[in-house]
Amino acid sequence: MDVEESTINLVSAEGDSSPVPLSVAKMSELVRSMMDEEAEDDDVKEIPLPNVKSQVLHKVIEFCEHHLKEPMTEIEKPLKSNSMSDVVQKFYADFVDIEQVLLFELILAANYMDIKPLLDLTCATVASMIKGKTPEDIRTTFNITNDFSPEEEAQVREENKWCEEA
Amino acid sequence: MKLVSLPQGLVVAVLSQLGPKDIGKAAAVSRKLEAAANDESLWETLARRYYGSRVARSTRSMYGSYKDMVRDDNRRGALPTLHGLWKSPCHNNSPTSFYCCLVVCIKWHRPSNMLWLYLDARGESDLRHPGTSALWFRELGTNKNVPLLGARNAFAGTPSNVQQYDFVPDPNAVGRNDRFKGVLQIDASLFSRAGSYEFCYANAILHRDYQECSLFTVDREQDLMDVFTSFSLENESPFASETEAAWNERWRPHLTLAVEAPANRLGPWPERIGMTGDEAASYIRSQNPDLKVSAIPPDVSVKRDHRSGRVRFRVDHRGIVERAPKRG
Repeated sequence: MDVEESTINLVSAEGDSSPVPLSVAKMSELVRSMMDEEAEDDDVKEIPLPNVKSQVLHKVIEFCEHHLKEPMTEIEKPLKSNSMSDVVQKFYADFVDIEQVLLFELILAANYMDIKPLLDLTCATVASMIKGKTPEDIRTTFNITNDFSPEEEAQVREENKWCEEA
Repeated sequence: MKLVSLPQGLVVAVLSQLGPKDIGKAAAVSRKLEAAANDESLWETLARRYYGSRVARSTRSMYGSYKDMVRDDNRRGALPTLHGLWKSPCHNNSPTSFYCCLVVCIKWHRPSNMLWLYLDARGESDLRHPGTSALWFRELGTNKNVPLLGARNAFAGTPSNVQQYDFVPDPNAVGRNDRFKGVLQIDASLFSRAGSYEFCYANAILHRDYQECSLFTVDREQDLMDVFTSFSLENESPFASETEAAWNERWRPHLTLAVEAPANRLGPWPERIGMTGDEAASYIRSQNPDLKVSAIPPDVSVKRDHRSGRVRFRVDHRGIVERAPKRG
């Protein structure tokens, strides 16, 4: 056990404060650089994260805590499977088995807080929902409106035909 | 919060987890996804993943974009070619008679790091074996020759960093013009210094019956990749003043060696007459993927404007190309 693993409070958009061990908080490059800036000041106790909602922040902390215990295996690219349980450990596959809205918010948070493995995991999860699908299926999956005219769509498909064989 | 409300950079981060096939599918979903699927940084990530950073960066100038590089599978980068060198180390400086040897083209086979010299040599009756060729190095600004290979005893049977392929007298050679053709493969690491590289067909350096020719020059602070990426025919060809047609007439009958013809990027393509529209179109695209190519059936009228990035050509009612396709 660490003698004194000091903690820091991450403050969400709603103003909720979550005490987090330093080692966990420093998984975020944003937090790390904010702390480094005030390295001399031992009293940094709060990091405000006004772009991150409480619900999302809790997920982020859950990820970071687990990552310290069991680091996520590197995700092979191009993605090999539609199922995240084929590419990462069970914890991480379960972690991203969530609603799309939360998934996209996690992507934004991971990007904002600069947590590479989390960004990788969440992006790969979205990618796994695209992999192997037709454009129509992709629209259905993500509820996207087709804003191409029929001619434009035909042209885009023609231009990207070569991708089929690549 | 939706996929399409993410900033483009993050949609790119999602797509970069995938291969070209799925990216192509995603492009057809909506404008937003199409923009992300065409993002240069996406294709740069893919190119670096596939070919490594150094190769991707150094072959980038051969392509309009990283997307083009991936589309080509970086074949140009993986096997760069100096086309149409038509050097002629020849006897008595007379390329059309007596002995002569063409270095038809030079390829750099990067996986094995060998330079492939495609040779086509012919002589009157006593043509010497290509394995008796020599290679030497001349420092910039000096006349000092440093033998690299075969300076005295020639390549044959000597160094392991040279391999010879298919050098057999051509059974189809007519009359007294016996002919050797084939590929000499030379370890590319021999070309690592700045300076000019001289090749002499079938001769030791001390007995130059044949004229040597300069294969290329590596400038100071350049490397071999720079030579391949900056090569232009105008700089290099001793027959630069000769038109392509005249060159073809002079040399084509002598060249049966199976080498890639230089891509005809700009057209016209008269040799496509008589083919089907689809065959002609895919051929033209293979010569220059940047062109928009379409075959126009006889009963369809088109706007008569001119665009250099486009090839439209008429086909007849059977779908056969009638006139030479050209840009416009």
